[in-house]
Amino acid sequence: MRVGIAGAGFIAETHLIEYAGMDVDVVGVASPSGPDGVIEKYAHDATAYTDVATMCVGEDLDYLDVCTPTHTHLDAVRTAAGAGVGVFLEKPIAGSLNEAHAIAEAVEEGGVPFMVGHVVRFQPDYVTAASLEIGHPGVARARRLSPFPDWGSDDWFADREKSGGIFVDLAIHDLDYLRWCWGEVERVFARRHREPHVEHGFVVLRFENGAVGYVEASWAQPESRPFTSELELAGDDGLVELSTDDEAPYREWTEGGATVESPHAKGGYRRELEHFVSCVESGQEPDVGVTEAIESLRLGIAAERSADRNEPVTVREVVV
Amino acid sequence: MSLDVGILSAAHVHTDGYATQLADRVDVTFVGVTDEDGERGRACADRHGTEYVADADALLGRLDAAVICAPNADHRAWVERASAAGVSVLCEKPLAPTLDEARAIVEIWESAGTEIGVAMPLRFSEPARRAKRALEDGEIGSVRAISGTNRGKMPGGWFADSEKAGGGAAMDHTVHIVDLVSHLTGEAVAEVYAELDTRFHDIPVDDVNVLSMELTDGTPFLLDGSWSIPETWHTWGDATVELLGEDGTLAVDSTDQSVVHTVASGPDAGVRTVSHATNTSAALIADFVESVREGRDPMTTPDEGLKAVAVVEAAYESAERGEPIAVQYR
Repeated sequence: MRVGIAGAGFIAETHLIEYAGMDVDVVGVASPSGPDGVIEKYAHDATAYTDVATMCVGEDLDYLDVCTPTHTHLDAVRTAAGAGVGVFLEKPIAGSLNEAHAIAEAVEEGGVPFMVGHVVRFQPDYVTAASLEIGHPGVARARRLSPFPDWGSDDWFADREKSGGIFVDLAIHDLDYLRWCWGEVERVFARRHREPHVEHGFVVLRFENGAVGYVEASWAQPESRPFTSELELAGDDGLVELSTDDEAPYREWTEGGATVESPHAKGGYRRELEHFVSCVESGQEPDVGVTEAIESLRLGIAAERSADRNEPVTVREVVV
Repeated sequence: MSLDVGILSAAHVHTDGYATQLADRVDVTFVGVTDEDGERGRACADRHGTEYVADADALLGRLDAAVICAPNADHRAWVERASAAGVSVLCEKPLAPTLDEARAIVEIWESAGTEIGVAMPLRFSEPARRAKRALEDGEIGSVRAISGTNRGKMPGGWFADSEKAGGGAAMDHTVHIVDLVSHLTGEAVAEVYAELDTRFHDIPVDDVNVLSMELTDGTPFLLDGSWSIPETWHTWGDATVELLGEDGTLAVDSTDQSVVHTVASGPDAGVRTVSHATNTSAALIADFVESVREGRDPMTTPDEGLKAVAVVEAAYESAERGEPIAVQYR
């Protein structure tokens, strides 16, 4: 399996670490700023490119793993799909529905395997939570709290035109997961606090099945607070709870500070990439294809719109 | 000098917590309990070694102060009756099931020569008091967003009877955190969007209570006050609030000071947690008793209790109309 990676940032590094343990060959990494740093660290056999198109043509890729900023997704997918190369695309699929539909078109025309990396659906804790019985769904609670992402090239997360904003970029993890668990959402109501390099949002959901949910997403936490994600699924016959804050399966204290880790033989990133690889090999449809990714993006955009307008937004009316 | 204190109706689940305090305090004579339900009142009096007095006026005639543990719909009548008898009262939350009744209580308070307080025990929670100091000292800077929870088990009985309670989870489990947030920030809730429903229990009132609010300074404030906790959970529920500030975040979980207790056999077999937190009922009753003795306001006054009632009323209106509602306080 010949894989090329577009991008050399945080997600590219994360994926490269997983590929090192998988039966795939990362043959090229393309980044306009030059991928030499990540190649040296994680992929000694890969060729460096500054341009995705050249890599797609030159390396006879089975698929391109797109780890670039959201606003560049459409170009990367068009390039790969146009060259008959499959695409694994980091979430969100795009920053707008127009771009997402153009991606869908490119994938359709290219007839290539395609999946969006909604990694939460593959995380052992969230997968386990989704499998547990709670009776009829009542209220879902999901929180995802982090400092402002300072790892984006050219500070692209700070540009809402590029990132789509906190609901489209961060809350979408939980919006997608909750859709996966409880089905489509009828309406959303969202509020947020926004400043340069600070964003914190709440979105309340009413599912088509009648259940209520809410997602809290933060890009405003102090650096001293470890990334925190929490989930509760409350039903009429049970309650499921998880919090990364409560888990301490591995702890280490040194003079330099303290660390807490939750090690898995295969975590969410490994599982999503292995799933896609097996789909490329078998020709099977990946679990998070174009349609699923677009529906989750629609929820994120509905939330952004609700926060902009201070009114509830019916999700199916969000068409552009 | 000992203060003569009684309990007016033992309907509320918090009655025993307050009664224990009244019985324990050396500066209080726990005169008695009256209750429209004689059996319930007598049982409560027996549990706490005091007298059951069937004639409420007779009891009021012997009291300096009383704690109202009646269903919400009876709060106003008890406040009126006690105030007319010159008896100071601490009224269980919410102050009243409607804004009109809350206003009537505020009017009584404004002209009464007695003290009237509202039972908001979270203001006495030590983690919450620590948060108040942190905010006052500017430890996290100005507040940008607030997220709270007050989930519980479905209390049943009159709590699920809209005639007596005035509503369900939104009536029961909105006011604690709303009051705490306004106590901590000095801001009121300006607007409420509510998703309410009945999805956990076969009851005629709401048990789903998710509120998206905005404070008067524009701060977004999300609250989940649903009765979504299964009967078999390790404790009664939770009461948390997290405040995001420009220089940091602080999180208060008033139920997280606890010891895990596993019972091996018998009817209580299972895992539960037992609180070791500073007793908020004790602090609440102490503040009330002292306020009566000193002739000062208790910690939470009826005008503040009214604010939380106004938020509840706006929440029900929002759920009915499907849009955010500006809270009317006057």
